[in-house]
Order: sequence, then structure tokens, then C-alpha cells
Amino acid sequence: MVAKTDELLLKVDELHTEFTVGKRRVQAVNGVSFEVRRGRTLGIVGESGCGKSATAHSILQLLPKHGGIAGGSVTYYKDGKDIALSALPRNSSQLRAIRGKEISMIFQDPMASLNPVYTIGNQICENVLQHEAIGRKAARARAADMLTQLGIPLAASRLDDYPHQFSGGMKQRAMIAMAMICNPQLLIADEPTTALDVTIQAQILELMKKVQQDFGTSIILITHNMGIVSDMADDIAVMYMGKVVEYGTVREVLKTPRHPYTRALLKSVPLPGLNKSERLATIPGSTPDPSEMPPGCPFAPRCGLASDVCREEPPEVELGGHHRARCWHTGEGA
Amino acid sequence: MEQEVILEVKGLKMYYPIYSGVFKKVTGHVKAVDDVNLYVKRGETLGLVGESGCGKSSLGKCLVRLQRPTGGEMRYRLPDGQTRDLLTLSKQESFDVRKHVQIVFQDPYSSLNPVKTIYEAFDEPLRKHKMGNKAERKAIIGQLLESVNLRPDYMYRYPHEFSGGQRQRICIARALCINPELIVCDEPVSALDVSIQAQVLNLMKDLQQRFGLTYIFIAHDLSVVEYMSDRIAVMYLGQIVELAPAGSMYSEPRHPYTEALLSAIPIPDPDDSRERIVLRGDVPSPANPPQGCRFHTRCPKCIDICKTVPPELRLVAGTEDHYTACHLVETEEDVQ
Repeated sequence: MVAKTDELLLKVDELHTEFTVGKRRVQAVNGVSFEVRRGRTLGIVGESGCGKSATAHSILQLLPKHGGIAGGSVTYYKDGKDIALSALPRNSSQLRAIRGKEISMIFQDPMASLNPVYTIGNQICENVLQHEAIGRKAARARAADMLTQLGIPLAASRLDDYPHQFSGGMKQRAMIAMAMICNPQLLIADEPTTALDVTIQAQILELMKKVQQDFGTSIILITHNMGIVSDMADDIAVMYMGKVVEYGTVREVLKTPRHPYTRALLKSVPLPGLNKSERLATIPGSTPDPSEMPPGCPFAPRCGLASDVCREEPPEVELGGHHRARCWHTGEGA
Repeated sequence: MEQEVILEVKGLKMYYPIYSGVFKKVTGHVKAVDDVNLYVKRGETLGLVGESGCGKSSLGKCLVRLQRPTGGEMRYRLPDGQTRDLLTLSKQESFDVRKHVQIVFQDPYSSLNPVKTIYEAFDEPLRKHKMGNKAERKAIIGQLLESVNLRPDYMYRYPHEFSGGQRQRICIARALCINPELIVCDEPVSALDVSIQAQVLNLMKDLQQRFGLTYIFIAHDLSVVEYMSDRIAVMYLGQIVELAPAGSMYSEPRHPYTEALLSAIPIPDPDDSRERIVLRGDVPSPANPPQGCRFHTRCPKCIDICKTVPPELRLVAGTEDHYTACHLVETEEDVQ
């Protein structure tokens, strides 16, 4: 068991990521900053299209050809050295040495992220063989060991199975095995349980906690489910339209949310035991088109507290500790 | 006043044949719905929860006769007081009955035809059921769109011009167009974002009050189901394992599966101290369900009898309407 520390592992500073759609440029990530500390979990929450996946993909520059980092920096701290990941060319050998070895990713849909024509064992071993000087046999043994730790029975014999022979939960376990086999420092999990049922989701979340305790891995957990973040994360970044609108520890953000969007998100989810006659709080309208962003605060058109001042870019207000919110009205409507 | 029962389902079975071999012989059946009994009262919302593959969507499709069930009875009480079994009706009769039962699907992107305007999509069922002339139909469509908070002139637009939440509202309005009494909602909000989800849920509650609708609300999100439903049925591998009013289902779940499902809901509260029951393993294949209680392979409380004798859905001792299918729960019959 590795203790949670304050040691910095990854720093994302004023990150901007753009995509070219036709002749237009769309800002998917618009000045995002956060830190990941060793052994801790950062949850990134937001609705679809808010730029949470684009942020995660930017860290390892796993962006499609028409997208790229347009500004800001991603810094990875390794043994006292700092490596500027965002400055490396996307197919450079340095970046490839980090992908999968130091920082690895789990994607949302395990059905779509495993190659159907290679065996599970083959796909897990590929990662170790790429990064470490070990033989095929040793790699297979490591893969079997990893799957056993992740709770797959008779793992050694299942290495020769193809993805279609695995169930959804098992495929996601195989994905985690693939991501964890090189013992990475940071695991980026992009909606790891969205495609799974609640009981299987509970299994996978328990497993990720166990992996974190055993290996001391830091996790960036991307999800739209506030409940999962509350359960798993130490810190939360709430994103809206490519910006982090609120950031803080789980307790700070969930107990004393200061941004109107965070408050609205928390209220719009029905909780067990809610009075039936009570109406759910809604956020009027829908998210704006990212290519036609309103000036100033992007949430202003849907916000109950919006005033004239919101037409200007809101400041980032420090609220004590690490807690900060990007809003003109952090003191109101609590 | 005792509410009238609008739909009664008895011993409903939906088996999908499995074909294999060169001659495509039937070698087995996927028992998606296996011996389901339930009833729905007028004006209530019956929630149906379960994991994927438990048969909840198959059951929903059977109820509106998009699928022909393999066996059982579905007695539907028409507004004129007559009761009809949807399974034995002729084509014309079932067409008449189905006017009163509609369905809303999960994915608002694939359930609207992209090459038809909203007007065309709405006009078709109206014409089919011979409701009004052209001008009247147009007026009806305008009103329907207004009732789901959309502008009437949106009827000349195509589906791609709408956002996900708007499309789902359009789908709901379309289901309403021939004045149905019962609407089967198959995961109506699971494809939507949380903030949009709340809009649609509120709207559905408003419409229910306004038009006196009865809902069968199918979902896998337990907190949403609890919020929407009066009574809830929990399904596992094609069977109902627990059926109870929403309140007592959540405060006192009796079936170990329901307990586990409820404990697995993540709640956004850092002080949440519930103990989480993590079930081992996956849902077994519905083509070859386990002997005895279907849940025994994953049940933390399994005893010997569970492996051989399938439990029946029975009234729990000391309650009026809490049913469960578990050997470990004391039923009303045990007490007597």
C-alpha cells in the first residue's frame, strides 16, 4: 500500500486543444489547468461535449489528425526531472516510451477498444514486449498473473481466448490488465464503466481502488456520474465547454459547490429517497455549439444567477485550500 | 378508491430460438422473458429495472406487441370496459387495441426517420388511425409539440435540426399523438446528459398528470426509476424477483439481488457510509439459466435449497403489496 502524497506527478497548465472542422476551428479544450499528485485520484466530470475526453487525449497527444494542442503545457514529473509532454512531437520515440509504460489509458467501450482478431493474451503482452526487454514466455506469465490479480479465473488458459469470448466486465478487466501491466505511474480512465451494468460497474470500481492501493498509481477518472467521482476521487475538476469551472477536493466541491453549474448538476440527479412530488432541478436550454461560443462565461445563457457582468470572462476565484471556481457570482445563491 | 387494473400479464414467455448447424435447426431457446406475472393500474407508473440482458426490453416490446410472445396472457382493459387478450386477437382487433398502447425508445437518434419532417412522422399514425382531416391533424400536431415545450412551427423541420433532448421530447409527443392510455418507455433518458435528463423526466411527470397516462418505465438507472415509479419490478434473467411499491423497495429491499443493486448506486456524497455489496461474476446466459433460483450462482446468501428449487414470487410476511421470489424471505404463507 502506497500512501497518498502531495508530490506532483502531472501538471496541465492553460491547455488549449483545437479541432479543425471543415474550415472552422473548434476549441474543445479552452484553458484547462489541473494537477495530479502521486497516489491520488482526480475526477473530471462534465456532460458530453464539455471537453473532458479531449483533455485526457491531449495529455498523451492521442488526438486525431485534424486536432492538436494549440497552447499551454502538459508537464510530467519523473524522478525529479520534468518532461514537457505537450512539446514532444506526437510520434516521437520519447512520447511512445511514455505511452503505455508511464502513463496508460482505459477507454470507455471495451468492446470497441480490443482488436477482435487478436487473442486477449497477445494484446496484453504487446505492451510489455514493446516497453521491456523480456521474452514472450515471461510476458505471457506476467499477463496471466495480471489477469489473475484482476479476478479472472483460470487466467492462463483464457489468454488464448478472443475478445468475443469475454463478457463486458471481463473485457474491461482485460483493458485494465493491458493498461496496468507495465506498472504505470498514471492511469487515465475515460468513462471506464459507462458501458457496463451497475453490478459490474461496482466490481470494476472496487478493482481500480485495489490496483491503486497495490501499485500506488495515480488515476485520472473521467466520468459524467457525480456518484462515481464521490466514491473514487480525491479531487474533482468540473468541466463545462472546454473550461474547468470548479476545482477542489471531493468534500469541497460536493459539500459546498460554489459554481452555479456544479450546483445545478448535483441537483438534477434524482437521489434515492427523494420526494416524488418534488420536481427535479433542470438546467434550461442545452449546451451551446462549441464553434459559436457566447462571449464571457459560457454558462451564462443557462445560468439563473447570470447578470451583465457575465458577458465578460469570469475570474478564477480562490476559495481556500485548492478550491477554486470560475464565476462572477461564487458568493451568491448558496 | 381502488384503481382499475389496466393491464394484466400472466405467465408471459418470450423465447427466441437459437439456430445452428447446416440446416439451421433450432437447438435451444434464449428465454428472454420466462413466466412473468404482473399488473398495471390506471394512472400509475410501474418501473422495470434490471441489468442488460435480463429481458426488460423484450418484455416492453411484448407489451406493445412489437414481438409476438411465445406464450401467456396479456389482458388489456379498454376504455369502454371490455377486456381483451392481446395475444389471441386478430390483426384488425389488435390494431384497434394497440391504439391505446404506445412505446418510446431509448435512442432518440435512431427512432426518428431522418428523411421525414416532424410533420410527416406525426401525420402517419394520425392518418393510419383516421383522426381528422388535414387541417385538424396539423392543429393536433401543433398542440402536441407545444405540450412538450417545442414551438409548433418546428413541425416542418427534420430530425437532424434538433438536439438529443429535443428529439426525445419529439418522440414522446409522437407517442401521444393517438391519445394512448399506456406508454411503455424503454430507457427514455439513458442516452441523454444529466441536465437534459431532468428536463425530460419532469416533462413526463407533467404529461402523466395532464393526460392521465399510465407508464411502464424501463431503465437500468435505479435512482431514476425510484423517482418516477409508484411500484417497481426488479428483473433478473427473464423473471421478476421482486415487486413492491417504490418506497418499501428502497427502504426495505428483501431480495439479495435488489439489495446488491441498490448498494451499487453511486451517490454523490463524500459522507456516504453505506456498505457496498459487490456481486461476484457475470449474469449467466439466458439460453442456459442456472437450476433452482436463477440468482444462486452470484448470491452471497445462497443456501442448499436455492440450488435446486426455483422460488416463486410471493407476498412477504407482514406487508400488503411487497412480493419477492426468495427462499430466505418469510412469506405470508409461511406465517399462516
